[in-house]
Amino acid sequence: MNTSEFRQQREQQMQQAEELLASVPERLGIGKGLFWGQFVADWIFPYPRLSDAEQSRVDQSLMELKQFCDQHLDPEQIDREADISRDALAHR
Amino acid sequence: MTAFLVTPDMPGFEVVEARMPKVGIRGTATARLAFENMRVPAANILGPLGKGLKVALTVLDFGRTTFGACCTGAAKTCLRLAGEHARTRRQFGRTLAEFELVQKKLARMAAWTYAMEAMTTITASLIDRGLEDYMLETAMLKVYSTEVLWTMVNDAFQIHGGAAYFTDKPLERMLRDARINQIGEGANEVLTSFIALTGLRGPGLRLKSVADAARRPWSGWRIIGRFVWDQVAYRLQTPSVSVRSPSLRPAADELSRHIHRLGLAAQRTLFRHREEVVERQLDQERLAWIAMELFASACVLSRIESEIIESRLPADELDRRVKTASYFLSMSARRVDDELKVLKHNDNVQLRAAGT
Repeated sequence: MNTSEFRQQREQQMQQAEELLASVPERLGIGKGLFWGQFVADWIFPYPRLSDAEQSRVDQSLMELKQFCDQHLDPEQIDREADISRDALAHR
Repeated sequence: MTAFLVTPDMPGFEVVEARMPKVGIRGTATARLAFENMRVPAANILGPLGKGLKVALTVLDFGRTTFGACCTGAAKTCLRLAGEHARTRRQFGRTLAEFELVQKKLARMAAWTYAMEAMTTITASLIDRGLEDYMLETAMLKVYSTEVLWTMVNDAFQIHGGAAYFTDKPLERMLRDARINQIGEGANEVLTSFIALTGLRGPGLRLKSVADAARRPWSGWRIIGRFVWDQVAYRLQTPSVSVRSPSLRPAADELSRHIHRLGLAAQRTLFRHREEVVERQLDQERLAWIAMELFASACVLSRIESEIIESRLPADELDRRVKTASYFLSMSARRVDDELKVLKHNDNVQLRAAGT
C-alpha cells in the first residue's frame, strides 16, 4: 500500500472512530476521568452489593450449575475429543 | 459499516468446516463460513444504517465483562492449585511455600485475583445501573484480566514444575485455554490503543481548541485565558479519593496523586505528539497501563473498604484479604511509577531502529 492510500485509509478509519466516539454522551466516567486527572467517585464507591434476595438466588443457581458440571462434564474428555458429549447435553 | 443478520437458510451461505481444530477451549465449535454472492434483505439490518461499529462494540461490552468473570474463575483455580502444591511439595527439606520466589508468585496471584474480581463486579454494576457509556471500562477490564491471567497460569505452571507439563493435567489444559483471551473480542494491542486514544480524545480536543484560538489572537484570547487559568488551578489540585476506613487513607492519597500525574502525562503526550499521537503506540500503551492500574486500584480500595466496614467476614479471612489488598495496592502503585518514568525517559528511538 502506498503512502497516500495508507493516509486515506487512516483518515477514513479515524473518521469512523470519531463518529462513534462523538455519538456517545460526554458524561465523564471513571475511565475518561482518569485521563483528565479526575476521579469520578460514584462509579467506584460504594462497592456494589446484591440484595439478600438476589444473592440467595445467585447462590442457588451457582450451586445447581456447579452440581451439573461436576456430575455430567469431564473437562479432560471434552478437551481430548474436542466436543461435549451429547449424553451430557441431554441432562440439561 | 452496517450490521446485518445472516441466517443459515440464505442462498450462498455455507459452513465450510464445522469444527476447526484448535489449541484451547476445544469444547466450543469454531466454524469456517463462506458467504458467496449473498443477497441480504433490508429487513435484516441490525440497528441504524452505517452504525455497525457501534452495534459491534455494544455487543462486545457484555462480552468483555464476561471475560473478566471467566478470567477471575480461572485465576481462582490457578491460585488454589499453586497454593496446594506449594504447601505440600517439599524440596531441600522445606515446603515450596517457604521459598521467597514461590511466595512472590503466590502473593501476586492472590493480589491479582482479588483485583480482577473487584474490577469485574464494579464494571458489571455499571451495566446494571444503566449508565450509557462504559466502553472504556469494559476494555480496561478485558485487557487487564486477560494479561494478568496469562502470567498467573504461567506462575502456577512454574510452581508445579515438570509435573505440569504432561498432557491431561489441568494446568496444561488451562494454559492452552487461557491463550485465546488475549486475542478474542478485540486483540489486546488494539484495545490498548483504543483505551489510550479514547481517554486522550477529550483533553486532545481541548488542547486543539486552544491551539486554534492561539492562531486568531483577537477572538481567541478568552479561550486561552480560561485555559491558562485552568492549568494553574489544575497544577495545584489533586482529585480527592475519600475512604471511610482510616487505615486505607495512605493508599487513597497515593491513588489521588497518581491520577493527577496521569492527567499531566496525558497533556504532555498530546503536546509532544499532537495529531501524530494516533501512531505513537508505545506511549499509548504506557498511558493505557497507567489508567488500567489506577482503575484496578480504585476497585480494590472500594472492595476492601466495604469488607472492612461491613465486617461480615470471619476475622482471619478479613485479615488475609487486607494483606492481599494492601500488597495489590503497593504493587500496582509501583507499576504506575515505573510507567510514568518510562514515558519521560525511554528508548523508543532505539526500539524503532531495531524493530524496522
